[in-house]
Parts: sequence; structure tokens; C-alpha cells
Amino acid sequence: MTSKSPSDFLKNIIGKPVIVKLTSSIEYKGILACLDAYMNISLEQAEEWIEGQFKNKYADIFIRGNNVFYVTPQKKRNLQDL
Amino acid sequence: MDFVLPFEIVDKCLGSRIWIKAQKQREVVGTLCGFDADLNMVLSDVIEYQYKIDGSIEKTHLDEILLNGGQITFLVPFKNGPDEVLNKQINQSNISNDVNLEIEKEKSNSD
Amino acid sequence: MNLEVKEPIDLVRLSLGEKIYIKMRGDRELRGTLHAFDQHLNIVLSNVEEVLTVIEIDEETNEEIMKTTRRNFEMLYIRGDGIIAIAPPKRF
Repeated sequence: MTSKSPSDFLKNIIGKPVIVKLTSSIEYKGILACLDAYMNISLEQAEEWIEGQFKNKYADIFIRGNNVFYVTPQKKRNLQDL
Repeated sequence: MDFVLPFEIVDKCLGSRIWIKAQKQREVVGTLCGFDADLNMVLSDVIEYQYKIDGSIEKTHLDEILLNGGQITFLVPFKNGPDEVLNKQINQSNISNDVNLEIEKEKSNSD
Repeated sequence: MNLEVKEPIDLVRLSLGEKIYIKMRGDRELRGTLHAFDQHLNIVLSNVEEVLTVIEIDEETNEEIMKTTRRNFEMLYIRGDGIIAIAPPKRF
């Protein structure tokens, strides 16, 4: 069984557009600049979406890792507003 | 040795469906692709279930995610999530009803 | 000082002395000048404006009303565990 470790996954998505979902209903969509072992994340050109509604835009944003639920590559932009 | 370490169970799940219950009424089901010592997991072909206040369930499909291990409360190996279990429960309740019917039939026959 | 962002906390480091925006748990937002922080993200801010948003439901019309309360502080110590996100000012 070939497994794909979390660090392999992260190597592939750094510098790419991602969605960071928090445990609250907040989502951040942006370019993944970097992250650390606590899952603290910094995004560039980030958009803040709350319950499918666009709220804010940030050139850079730091997200504290304890609030992160998951990180996923952003395939299609803003699926929600279709 | 006849005991199993928790991580062995997770390791056995590699390549299989896994159902994860996370904090704040969130559940995800996906194929486990990998994990680390903090139980951060790479999952593919994921369905995320969100239980809303009004009782509705929002399902989201995601190709691949990195799940924060710190948010996991428990996980069910080799299960395809709430849908599978619900279906099974319905089937099982049908079976038990059938059995009850059989017993009642037998009773009425003997009477 | 290294101006590169190698790990997320560098983003906070680069904002020292500048005005930052902090999103807190409980619909709380803070804006102020960043003086100090540590690895837990405990933070010291000065000239702080706090915005607290509360959603109230009007009993008669069942409408949701957003209410914001603003407060100002000269200096504030913030415990890191309440922080959701930090946005530095736009860098040019």
C-alpha cells in the first residue's frame, strides 16, 4: 500500500490555490504561502467566506492552526456562487 | 500479543474508507491515503457532512483534503459513513420485524 | 531582519510596529498596533479598537439584526487561544 503522508500532500499544494476550512463556518480561499507543524497557515490573496457568503479580502492572512479543520486544493474557483 | 495499538488500526485503514467524527457536529468520510503522528490525515474522495441547526444535513464532495488531526473525536474504520449505517439500521429493523412476525405466526399456530 | 516569509508566524513578525487586524472567537474583531507576540500568539496591541458583533432576533418580526459595539483601549494584552486569524496591513 503506497501511502501519501500529510507532508507529501503539503509539498504538492504550497504556492497553489487552496481552501482552508475552519471548525467554525468560516472558509479562507487563497494561495497557500506556508504552514508549520501547528497547522498555522499563511495565505496570500485570501478571501474570507462565511456560510457561502463572501465577507472580506486580505493581501496576506495568518490563520491560527487550532481552528483549522481541513485544507483542500481549490479546483474550481468559488463553486458556491454558481 | 493479543492487543492492538490504536495506530495499528489507523494503519490498517490505509487505502480503505474511513468515517471520522470531528468536533462541532462535523463528519467526514473518505479513503485514507496517509497520516502522521498527530493523526493529521490525507483523505481522498471525501464527503463532508454538516449538521445544520434546522436539522438539515449539508453534504460536500471534495477530491482530496488534509484533515487536522487535532479536530478528530473518533473514527470508524472501514465504514462509508452515516448513509451506510442508516441503511443498515433500516434493513436490520426490517429483519427483526420479520423475525417478530415469524414468532407471532408460530404462536398463533400453536394456539 | 529577514524579510522572507518562511513560516506562517513570520507574517506576524513582519507586522511588528504596524497596524494589524485580528479576528477573534465570539465575533470579536480588533485593530491596533502590534507591539509584541510569542509562540502561542499572545499579543500586545496599542491604540486598539474592538468591534463586537451580536446578532439579535427581533421577537416581533423574526428578523436578524446585527448590532455592533465599539470600544477603544490604549493598550491590550490578548491571549493567543482566542485568535482565529491575523491580517497584517497591505504591504507595497
